[in-house]
Amino acid sequence: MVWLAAIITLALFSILYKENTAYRLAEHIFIGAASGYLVYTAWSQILKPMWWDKIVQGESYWILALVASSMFYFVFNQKYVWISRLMFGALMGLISGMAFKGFAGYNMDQIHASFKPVIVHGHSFSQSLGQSLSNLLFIFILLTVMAYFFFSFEHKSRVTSLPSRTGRWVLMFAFGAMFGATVMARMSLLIGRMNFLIHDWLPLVRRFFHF
Amino acid sequence: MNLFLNWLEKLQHIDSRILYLLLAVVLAIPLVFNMSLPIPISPAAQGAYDAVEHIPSDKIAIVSVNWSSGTEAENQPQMDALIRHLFLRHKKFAILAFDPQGSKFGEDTAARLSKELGKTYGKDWMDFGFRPIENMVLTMQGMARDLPGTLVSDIHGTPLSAIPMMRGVKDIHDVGLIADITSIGTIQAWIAFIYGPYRTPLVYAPTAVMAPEAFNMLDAGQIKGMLIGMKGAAEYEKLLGRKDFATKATASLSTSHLLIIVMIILGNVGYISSRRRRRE
Repeated sequence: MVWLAAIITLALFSILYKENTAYRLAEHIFIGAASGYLVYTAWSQILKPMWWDKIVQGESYWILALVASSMFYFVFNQKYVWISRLMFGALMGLISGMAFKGFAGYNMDQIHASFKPVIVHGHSFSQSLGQSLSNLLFIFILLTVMAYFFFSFEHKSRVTSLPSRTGRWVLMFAFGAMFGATVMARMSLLIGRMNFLIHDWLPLVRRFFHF
Repeated sequence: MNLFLNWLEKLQHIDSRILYLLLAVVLAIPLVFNMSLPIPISPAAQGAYDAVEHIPSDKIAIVSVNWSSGTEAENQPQMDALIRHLFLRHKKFAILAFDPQGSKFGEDTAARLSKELGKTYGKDWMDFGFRPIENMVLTMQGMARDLPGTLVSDIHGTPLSAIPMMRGVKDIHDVGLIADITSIGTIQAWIAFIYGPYRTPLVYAPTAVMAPEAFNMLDAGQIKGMLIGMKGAAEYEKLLGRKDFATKATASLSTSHLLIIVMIILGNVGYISSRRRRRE
């Protein structure tokens, strides 16, 4: 298995040299294996125990689940497309209802947390000063970024254009931080593969070729 | 000086394959020579550690595994460290996966660590298995009100009533912590439908890409702690007093970042000098 994983890893890395058949083959094997595993897991852990076994055991009303899910496929038929709209409509209604609850559950705490005190009384002067400056910076960034996304009128005067331009700069800092984190993530994934090749595969190669 | 600037300008057109090779060498050297660097503990990782420490003894934890093999290098060390911590502190936990590959990774990791630390399936840990991500929100809402009724059985088909550690677990109030180890955006759903209404403590272990967007959740107290990619896993390993894969990999992470910073600086200096020369 280590040899197979190493060959596929090296085949996938070969794209860095140039486009080649080995890379394409490895890519398709990976996608195929992942898709096949998804189908197997969906059947063995969801559909079979929660639907098929129930029908086989006599709870035949579960067949209605197949009827309902089949209605989605009428989207491909021009004459009977209205059947699929019944299901899509129900699904969109369900999701919209959940979205209201989700919005409140996710955003309310963050809005509440954004009301920070400018003057903080901590255990020591340095702690109080540090936390106060941090809160002040937070409020400054929040207001300038919100000013940038205020599109109801044109930012002609300095009063409206200066916070907006500052917000834009602050957003650039944030995007830079996100990009830096993305680089770290990609490097981590590469390190994972390099570690596998160096510590799991190379010892096998050395044993195989006796060096 | 002119020679240096000429060289920098030529560097702008360097074949990218040479840069890939340089990156591979820079990454490999710390791994081959087992180099390590000091690892400072971030408040986010400390928060995650403390949240696990404070799980009440009469409640279970849920480890939500929502990643696949593409992010194994980041999420596997996080999961290893979290599950090891749960075992070491005798906190009962259940694995719940919204990714099919994640289900397998979670089961294998827990089984391996359970064997290493002498733990028993059903008594110290269990696995709910895979649930489709399309039903994630419905699953969350259902288990919040009626956990055994929603999740019904474990990965082997055993009814939850027959599993010793699940006796007495009725709803979300019997869950002391949810750890979301993920490479997809599942934390928003956990916060919106579990933390928001029920205030169940959450710990977040994302890939590094997703971490910057999560600091506002950390600041608002919606998540108690966060492990930022492989670096977060290394910090957690240090808190556990261990030196596993993530700790050994941080030196490679630092050298690769150093290389990128040097390349960016050289590239920008070369670009600016070539622009000046064209103007002259």
